[in-house]
Amino acid sequence: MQDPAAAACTRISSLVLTLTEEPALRALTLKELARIPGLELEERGGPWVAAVLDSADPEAVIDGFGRLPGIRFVEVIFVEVTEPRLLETPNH
Amino acid sequence: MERRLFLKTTALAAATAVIAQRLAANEGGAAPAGVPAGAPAPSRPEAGPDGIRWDKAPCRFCGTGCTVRVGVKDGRVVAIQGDQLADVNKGLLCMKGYHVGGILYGRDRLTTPQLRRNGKLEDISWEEAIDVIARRIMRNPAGFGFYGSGQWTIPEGYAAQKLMKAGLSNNHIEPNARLCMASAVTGYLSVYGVDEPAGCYEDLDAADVIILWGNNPAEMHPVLFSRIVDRRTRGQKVTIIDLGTRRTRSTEYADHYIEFRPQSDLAIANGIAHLLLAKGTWDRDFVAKHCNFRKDTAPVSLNGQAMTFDEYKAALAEYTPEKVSAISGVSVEKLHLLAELFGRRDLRITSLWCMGMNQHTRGTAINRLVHGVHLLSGHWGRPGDAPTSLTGQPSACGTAREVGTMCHFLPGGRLVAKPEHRRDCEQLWNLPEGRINPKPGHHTVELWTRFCTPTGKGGDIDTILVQVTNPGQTMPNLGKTFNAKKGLEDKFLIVSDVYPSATTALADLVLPAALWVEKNGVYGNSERRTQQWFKQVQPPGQARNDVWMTLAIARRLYELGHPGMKDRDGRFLFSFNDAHGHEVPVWDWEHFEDINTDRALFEEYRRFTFMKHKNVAPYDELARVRGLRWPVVEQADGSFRETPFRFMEFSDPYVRKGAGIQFYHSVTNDDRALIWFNPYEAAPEEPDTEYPFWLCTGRVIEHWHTGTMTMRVPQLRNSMPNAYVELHPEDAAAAGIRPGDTVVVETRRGKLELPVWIDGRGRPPRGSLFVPFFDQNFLVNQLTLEAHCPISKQPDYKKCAARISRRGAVAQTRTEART
Ligand code: SF4
Repeated sequence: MQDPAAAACTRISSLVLTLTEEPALRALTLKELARIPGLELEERGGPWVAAVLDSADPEAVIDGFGRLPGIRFVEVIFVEVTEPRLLETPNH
Repeated sequence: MERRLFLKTTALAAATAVIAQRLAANEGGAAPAGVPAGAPAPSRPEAGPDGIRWDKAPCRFCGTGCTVRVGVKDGRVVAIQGDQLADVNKGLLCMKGYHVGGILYGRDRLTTPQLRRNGKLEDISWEEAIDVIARRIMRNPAGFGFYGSGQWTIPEGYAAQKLMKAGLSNNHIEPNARLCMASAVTGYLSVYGVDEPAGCYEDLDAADVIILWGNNPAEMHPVLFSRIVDRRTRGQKVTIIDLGTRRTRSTEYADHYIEFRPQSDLAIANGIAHLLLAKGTWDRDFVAKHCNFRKDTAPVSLNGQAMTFDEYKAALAEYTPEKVSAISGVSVEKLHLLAELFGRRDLRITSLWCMGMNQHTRGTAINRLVHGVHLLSGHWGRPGDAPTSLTGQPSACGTAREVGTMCHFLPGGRLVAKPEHRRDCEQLWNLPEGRINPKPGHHTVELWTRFCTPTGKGGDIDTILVQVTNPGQTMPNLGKTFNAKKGLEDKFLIVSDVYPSATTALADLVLPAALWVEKNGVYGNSERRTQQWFKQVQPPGQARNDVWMTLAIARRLYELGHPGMKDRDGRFLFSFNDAHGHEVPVWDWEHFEDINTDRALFEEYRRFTFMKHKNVAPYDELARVRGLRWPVVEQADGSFRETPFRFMEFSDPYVRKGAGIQFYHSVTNDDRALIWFNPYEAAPEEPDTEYPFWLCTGRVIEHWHTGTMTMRVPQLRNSMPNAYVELHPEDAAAAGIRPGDTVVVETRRGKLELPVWIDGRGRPPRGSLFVPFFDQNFLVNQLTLEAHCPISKQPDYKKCAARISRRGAVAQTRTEART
């Protein structure tokens, strides 16, 4: 069970991942992706996979996709806005 | 947790819908269809069972004009989603777009008007603030300047334009768009006789070849770039040619990277035209039917003078591949490659450009030459065959160009210098004859230079009101064009903004503004698409709409007896009635929302748009849809039809039947476009022994322009926390500079200490530096040059001479301007 307090600090994003069509690498990539906490995948045909990410640091997770050779392109199409209390002011 | 479950479901549905669209497109073999223009959008949606109300709005940032769905709950924006029903972005957003909601909630939002007294900003009431401004204008109406931007909504820009030109008979109004797309405007005007691209984003779906002329859309227009890259994913062949002065993220996707010496793009364009003529691969039929030839006058002018084809050919004779190669550094083979592509009629070629060609001391010339290459080769007039400029701001097209908030324009493509255009506007505004001043005002660099010059020494501008922009960070050569205001006691700077900025730091009066979905708005994007949105949340504290500020200032001037605030019949300039015919005091904040003031202003503005066939759709129609591209023409059944492709018979209803292509605003009044010859000229400041590097400035994907909004979003700020200088590893080694060092970058105007980034995202060639301008802590515009194109008056931020030295890693970085 996820701690509700921690969950309140996570943010939901949805993504379209364009994967390689090379079968072995694609299968390996999907396996790797399945291990990422908070990431749900839905294969819909073609090279694309729909993904929902519920994470406290989605930018880091998305950055990490770049290290998986089977991912050709990542598009973020939905993001939950950060809770206002988490916003900060730059040091000017 | 229920809400989060719902959000997850919504999020997954958004992603699967994008995929479904792509799969459908693959099956049909065509580009994704999106929603037909005019398809209804719910105008004021209700909240769902989870309490979230979703509504549409264009993204607040770049000129791509993506539509976002804004989720609001309990009076706050709680989620952002790409709008799948939007033709522009088909559900996608870039990293800035999906964080756009966060810009509303930085902790240091300005919430109270503040007046500087004894050097300190003190809270005052709105009533006092408006009174101070009006009295300042009354003192010297001709010395007042109004400076806005391509982020002004169309009603905001229109109200400012009317206050200045119809009310104060004062043409000193400028948008910051002068700094970003003025050369594109003069390019279109001098080639086609009318501004703005003929093509649209569908060109990106149809082109076989896309040429990026000094353009980096992977970072600056990411959703458009992913539209191109996505075609490759679907198995389509699209060749990308990156013609640039440094390697960028766009280069990573390019089939050919062609690096050229800064400023030599003029020689390259002439070299392509030379080869088309030499090889006989130019399109004789197209040119015979649709083109005339043109060259500059001395001194240069917008419309130049006629030249014959033979004179044109003779002028190009010297631009042999060998000579162009020597000027540009581009190999002869690559020049032949470009000319061969343009010589092939079986390909469709789209050229894209933005700041690289516009921020250029020969900006008008290079814009003309790129249009010329397309016209000469006949790569014009079919979807995918298009020369298209992109804009950096969300309404540079809608507000700066169409409303005409520049010092020489009147609304709808008219000019203050043309008596018939002034008469036309005086009639539409119901003004007494002669009210509009025939003399163009000061363009941006001139306006700020005069503001920063003592009154006794020719500084005839003593008060400037700034809305929705940040000149304290963006003006070139800041020491001269902005910071020199310091200590000039008789100068008064008024700044309306949402956060403290480099501009508010020097302001005498600060006005807290409403932002994005805290107000109604209408924007016009890069492809002539006008997009409307409604207010969705309240602004914080006492923040108010910019358009209200303008109306309130006008009303206070009226009360103080300024004669220009009345029309020919003695009515207040901004007089709007409710449904019962009663005047609504919209200048009074309590009554501002009694009617939809945006709608009233937009409908008034709409009457100006027909003369140049820039017909925008009615406000209520725009409220229903995800934007429409002008000219929007009413059909017999009362529906409205947009025009994706202008001047082309298959799309544009104003083209004469049977003409195929008709440039119906032609400079030469014969329905032809102009192919120009403009020579290559060296940049005004080139590297030399004292300052051996080129310095180029620009943007990054994480931040929008000066970072005032995006630096308040932690995810964006953490991704790119500060500015830096990029340089080539061999230059770094030669100067003993290592990654992590701090480097002093110096030009003849100032110096700046910056962390160095070697082999980072962008890779300049040897002898070149790049510094982004988003960071208020590193004001690179202290170093840039205010030299500008003599026709467009747009400054060149892309090239000046600089030198570097190693300072070693220091804990605290600092800036130091010479002036
Ligand atoms: S910044 Fe530009 S590309 Fe990104 S979402 Fe906004 S409009 Fe689209």
